[in-house]
Amino acid sequence: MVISNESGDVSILIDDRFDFSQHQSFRDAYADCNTSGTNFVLELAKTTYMDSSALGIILLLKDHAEKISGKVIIRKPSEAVNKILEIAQFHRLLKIEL
Amino acid sequence: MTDTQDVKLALVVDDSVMQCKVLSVLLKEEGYRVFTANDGARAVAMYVKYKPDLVLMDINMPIMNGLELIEKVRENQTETWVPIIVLSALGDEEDIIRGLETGADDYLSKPINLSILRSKIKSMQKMISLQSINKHTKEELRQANDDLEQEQQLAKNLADNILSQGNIEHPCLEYWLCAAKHFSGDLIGASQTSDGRLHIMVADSSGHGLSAALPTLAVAKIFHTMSEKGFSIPSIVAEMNLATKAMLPEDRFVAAALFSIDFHQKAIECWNGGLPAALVVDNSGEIVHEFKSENLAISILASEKFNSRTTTYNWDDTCELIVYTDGLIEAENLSGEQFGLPALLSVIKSNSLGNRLQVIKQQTMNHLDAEQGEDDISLLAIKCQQELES
Repeated sequence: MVISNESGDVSILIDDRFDFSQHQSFRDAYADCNTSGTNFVLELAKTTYMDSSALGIILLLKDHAEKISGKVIIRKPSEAVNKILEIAQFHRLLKIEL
Repeated sequence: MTDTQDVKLALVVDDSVMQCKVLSVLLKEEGYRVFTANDGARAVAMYVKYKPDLVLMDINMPIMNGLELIEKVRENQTETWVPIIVLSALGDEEDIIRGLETGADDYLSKPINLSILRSKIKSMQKMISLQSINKHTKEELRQANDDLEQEQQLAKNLADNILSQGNIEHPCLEYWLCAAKHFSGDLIGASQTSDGRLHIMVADSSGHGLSAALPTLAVAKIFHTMSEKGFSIPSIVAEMNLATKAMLPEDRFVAAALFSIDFHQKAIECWNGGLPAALVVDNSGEIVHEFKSENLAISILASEKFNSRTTTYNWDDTCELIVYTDGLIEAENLSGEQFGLPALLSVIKSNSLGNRLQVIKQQTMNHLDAEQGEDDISLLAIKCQQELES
């Protein structure tokens, strides 16, 4: 997982697997981003596996973003991940840029 | 004979009574209570009777020689390691090697240097105390593990009791549920409504184990109670969402598909929130309808945003409804390959109605090849036909 902060947006790059093992590091990563209006961009192009815990992690991030009037954007999910997001119907919750 | 735990016992075996006395004095100074034997056979008897913590022994002895004695001692040894120090006039390299290979822990040639023997005994004691700390830790771990297992078993019994309230048997229904852990985050429920419809639920709670099983219990209770009273699927899912939203943390949810099957009207009504598309398959294996996920899972949205709208499919000829959780197609073998949707569809296509579930189950198990899947697997098939004898 790589975090970068550019022009106020926080970009989070996830590796091959996105699952429960990232729970803590992920929370630590965004906990300090409290600037009002911060958008969190989740880069999932390299991710091929994502479990239900990962969906839960995204829900927590969304909760955090909304508290500081920000948004979560999922960018370029791989085909496998996009299928999972589609079944979970996450486009009803947040923006997914294909 | 009962011994208090802090008294250490030593067995001295030597055909020389004098040698036994000398060694006894030294061992007593080191805090041992000492037993002596003058031949191998007697030594074995005393070893079995007193279970000493240390054995000092000669090799050349009448009745049973030392090497045989070492073998007997090792045969009778419990989990606890008992050091054997050989004190022998046979001091050749070969004798020493033979003694150590037979099972002795150390070998001193006669005449014995008592200072060296004393320090050898001390170093053996150190090793014994390390071993007992290790053993103690292991024992504590085992105990903690047993307690946990017991509590899990108790919780599982409770869970099973709650779940068995719903009777899952129905002549048209077949299912397979394979839990990855003690507790399943997957749940299959079936309930006959008072007006003759069959209600079905397949649920997959996020996470694994106990924490995943708890939300499914809440959902199961609502499903059975409301179905029996004849509530509609939209009312049931709305209530499930309301109840679990109040109970679960932000990152937990329950993906589920609920169905109401009306065998007289030949209609399947479905609400799918987060489960892979349920398939309606005709006699020839063609997929004639898919109930895709159209909603977020239960417990994500607040009630005012929650959508409980259902879709309905009407069948003409006999068909089969197949519902599964993602654990099925994501089941990974040792090389990390998933069972996959194409494999599932191919089995469905090439098998006749009524046989499909068993074949899918068999092929998934073959694919897993005795590996335990990382996720729970649920699979359910319902034969939809009009003439229902019940």
